[in-house]
Amino acid sequence: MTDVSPGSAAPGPVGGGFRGSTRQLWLTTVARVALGLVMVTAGGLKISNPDQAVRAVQAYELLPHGLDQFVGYGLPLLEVCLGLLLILGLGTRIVAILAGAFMIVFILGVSSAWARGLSIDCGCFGGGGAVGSEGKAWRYLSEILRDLLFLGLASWAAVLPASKWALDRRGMAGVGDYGLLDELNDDDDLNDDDLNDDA
Amino acid sequence: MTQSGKARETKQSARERVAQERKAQAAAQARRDTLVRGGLIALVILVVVGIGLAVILTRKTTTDAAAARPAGVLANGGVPTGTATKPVIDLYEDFQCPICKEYEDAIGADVRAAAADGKAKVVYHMLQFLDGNLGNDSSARAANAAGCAQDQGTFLAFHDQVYKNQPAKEGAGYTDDQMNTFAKAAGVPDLTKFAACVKNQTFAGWATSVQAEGNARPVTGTPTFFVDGTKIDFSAAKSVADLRGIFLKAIGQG
Repeated sequence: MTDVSPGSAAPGPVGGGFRGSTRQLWLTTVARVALGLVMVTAGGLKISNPDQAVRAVQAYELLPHGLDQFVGYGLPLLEVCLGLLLILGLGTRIVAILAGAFMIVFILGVSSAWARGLSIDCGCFGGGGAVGSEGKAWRYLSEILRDLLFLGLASWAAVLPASKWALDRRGMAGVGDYGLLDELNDDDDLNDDDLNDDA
Repeated sequence: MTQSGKARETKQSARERVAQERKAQAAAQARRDTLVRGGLIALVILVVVGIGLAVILTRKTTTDAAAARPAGVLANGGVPTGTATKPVIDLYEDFQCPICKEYEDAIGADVRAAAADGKAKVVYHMLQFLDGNLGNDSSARAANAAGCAQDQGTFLAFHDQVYKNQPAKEGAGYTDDQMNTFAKAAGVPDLTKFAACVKNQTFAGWATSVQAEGNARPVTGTPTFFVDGTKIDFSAAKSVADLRGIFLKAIGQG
């Protein structure tokens, strides 16, 4: 059998495995849309209250004054961009990798605040700044666990980027995503094995 | 079921030719896809950044240098109390902040005494950042009202009335009627003038500039105390009772 597909992860159970199966495609769709909605919401809340976003950044006491403003305004914009691209299924792999990096940065930031004994709200979904120290350990832990869950979603979408309802389309060199357009253009399907139909 | 070798060969080369063609088509398709996708990604980023920046620029605090200021406030917008010139205790509070009320109840009297006894200059900065969290405008309106009281020389009494009557539920907020009631209880001399000042938000621009000064400091939560520019670290306090010792020590009276 001649494999003429330029990409990997072709649709349909090529090797009969999980990758490329209908179940995998749908699970990736769920993962990227869920993560995308979370990021758009979180970023949107920060954008709607920019002063608060800057204060949340300042509360980590990690960045010099000036840079905190840059991050407070810029980071939510980036967050919404990545979230929207995840929902649309555009450049799923690279966007998922960036979203995962985002989560790692958040986890490191919260961990460092915890380690330094600060008592702050992570400002993940708006809010942020100094807060009372009651239930501090649990608050930090739950923030980290939540971000780990999101990191898991991002990793899933990065490892298995092919999904249903995505604007990405298969055939983009090296990415191998499977998207909505493929279903619309099914006659382009490179895995039509009619040629191999020996009489 | 047997086929001649020649027919097999022809079919083989035809298959390869078709395969080659398809490969070329696929490569061209891939290039088009990459362009389309790159364009769509760029479009999403442009739209998000454009709309987001517009929202940020309209919502971030902007200060009006020409805004009316209550009589006697400092250049940085703070309300000074006491006769001493040093040490300077800068106190950042929000009228809707429950922890501020706890601190007021615990050490408010000591703060007041330090100013009254000439042991420190206490400067009040009434912030309004909780409005954004709580979804109302009570902190900003209360800060404006405190400015109205300051304009008539009764800031502290008014300030204490507001904390005394802080709603038990954070976010319930204050009404303008309540502001007028507090002013009466605080002994503001001209209540008609005060009510007009509250209604017209006369010192709203000044109150915003106080918040902006806090942002720049930066003050990331309330209450925050500075003694001659050094933040008092209350984190060692195990209970409300410990706050007093930490405060007195920080102002050199421990």
